[in-house]
Amino acid sequence: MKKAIFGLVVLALVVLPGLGQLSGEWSTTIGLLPAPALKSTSLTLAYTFNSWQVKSASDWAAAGWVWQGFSAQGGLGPVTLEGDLLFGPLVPAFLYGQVIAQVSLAGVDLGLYTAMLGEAVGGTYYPPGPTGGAAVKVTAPLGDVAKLTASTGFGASLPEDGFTIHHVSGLTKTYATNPYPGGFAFTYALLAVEGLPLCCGITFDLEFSFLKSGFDYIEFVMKDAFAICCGISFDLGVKFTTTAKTISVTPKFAGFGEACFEVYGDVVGSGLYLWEGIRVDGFKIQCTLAECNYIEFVTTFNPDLFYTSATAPWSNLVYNPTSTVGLQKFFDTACGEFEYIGLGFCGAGCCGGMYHADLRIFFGTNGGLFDLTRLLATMKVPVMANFTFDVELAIAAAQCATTTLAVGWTFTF
Amino acid sequence: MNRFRMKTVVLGGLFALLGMVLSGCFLAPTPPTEATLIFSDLVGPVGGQGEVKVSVAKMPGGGLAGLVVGGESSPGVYVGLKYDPNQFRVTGVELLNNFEILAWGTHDTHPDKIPEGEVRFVAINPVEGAVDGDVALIVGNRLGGANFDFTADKANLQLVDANGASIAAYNVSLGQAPPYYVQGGEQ
Repeated sequence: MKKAIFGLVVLALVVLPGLGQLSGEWSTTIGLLPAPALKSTSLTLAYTFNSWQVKSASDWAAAGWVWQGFSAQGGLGPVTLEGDLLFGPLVPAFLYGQVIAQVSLAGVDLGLYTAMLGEAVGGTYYPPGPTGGAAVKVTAPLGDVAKLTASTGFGASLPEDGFTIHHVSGLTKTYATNPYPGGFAFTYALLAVEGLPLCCGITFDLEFSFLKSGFDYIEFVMKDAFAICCGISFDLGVKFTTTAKTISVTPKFAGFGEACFEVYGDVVGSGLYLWEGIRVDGFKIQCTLAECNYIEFVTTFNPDLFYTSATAPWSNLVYNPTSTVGLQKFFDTACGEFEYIGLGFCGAGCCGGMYHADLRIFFGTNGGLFDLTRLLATMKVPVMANFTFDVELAIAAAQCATTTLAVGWTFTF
Repeated sequence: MNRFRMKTVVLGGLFALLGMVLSGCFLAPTPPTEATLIFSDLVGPVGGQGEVKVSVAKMPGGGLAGLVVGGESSPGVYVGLKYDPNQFRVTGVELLNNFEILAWGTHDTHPDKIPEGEVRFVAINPVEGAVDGDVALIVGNRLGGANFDFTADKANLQLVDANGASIAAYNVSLGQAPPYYVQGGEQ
């Protein structure tokens, strides 16, 4: 057994890289506190030949071998092709397949996306069963600065955040094409124009969405409007849906980076058309000082509406999601948390790499000194040119919180 | 120009060929043709929040306006939606759309009346009936990753339409707790 493992290591580290066409990545996360446990490990192998790359990606969690994915990407004349296949070895079953064909003609990018979901993938949709569809997306420049994007779905769509398949271990896979509701029938049409110049440096975005059931929404966003002085300007947005109108104002401060004041709130109403007021659930002030250097202050008046990833609590805050699947409360309710200060910074690391660190300090009504409840820190530090060390640390500053520590690494070859 | 046209024709042909090859993948699940009460699959990671969506399709009489899960099937016999208590622990039933949850209970809220692994609830829509759409969301803690079946007996379910009449002819679709899942599916 030891000889076999040694042979595999030698093969992976010495022999295969010597062929010059095989590359890969191995990353692992191990929990050390409160109890030692393997959280996840993944191995990616890629083989490149001519203009094609074939890839295998395997992921394991404590439950076992969760994902086995294969993908191929390359060119066929002027057409770029990409294909993905995903299997669930734990069942075992086919889970997802996707083919993307893209071509660029006289500055116009045309993409055809098709996907299929296997019946082993469950969900809250009905009726269950395998589903597949396609979508077409066209992107073209309008003048020198503006861009037109049009997409139409036939049983599929292209979500902005991608289409995510979950495993109960918390591991996820995200792809471009959502194969719902399936079948070869019109699903949606989206037309977007970005960066239309008005005057005085003000640009204008427009987005119009139409579903099979009828009008969905139309949104106008005016960029860099009302420049006051000292590089201060505002983005103004208005979104009309069949039941509501949403207005957003985003101040921008040029000169020392970008400061963003964000208000988390919702309209309070009774019935479809009667507004009774606006409920403010919190606000965030974030100052971007330089690339990946920022400071942010978040205060909430209704912490129960704020969520984050269930498997990565240091990831971004999600306000009032329509579904909380795969999410957990951002603020620890046992600690009465309602506020945090976030810091992010990066700098030159070993061997030409960059280190990244994010720090969050939480405050709550059941906290300790200064109402501190816990401190979350995540760091990525390059140790060698092809080796990065990761740390995810949560330090309890009050009895209501728990200290956790996980370490990991990413090794590329 | 001719070369450009030729390239366009070739590319069009390639896309048409690709479309024909892939047309076999344009699958659409068969939509329900009869009134159906749907309990979805359980979704959510182990150690996190799990959700089961309750929805209806093709409901008659102006749509579903009232739902009792755990009604009295025979004198003194009440049984709700059953599940594996080692894998899932219900902590609440939340409203969706215009439905209101009048009451809900589990073993945790009524230890002397409801056994473990069972949830009962009453949902009504005082505004209108729902022909198609979501009614409620059963939420809880997903304790384990093993698959299991949800069970419910039609004798213990009561459906009322928008006219106040009982809905007798309907199907019940019950989900599982699959290890792989996606959210939603609406578009």
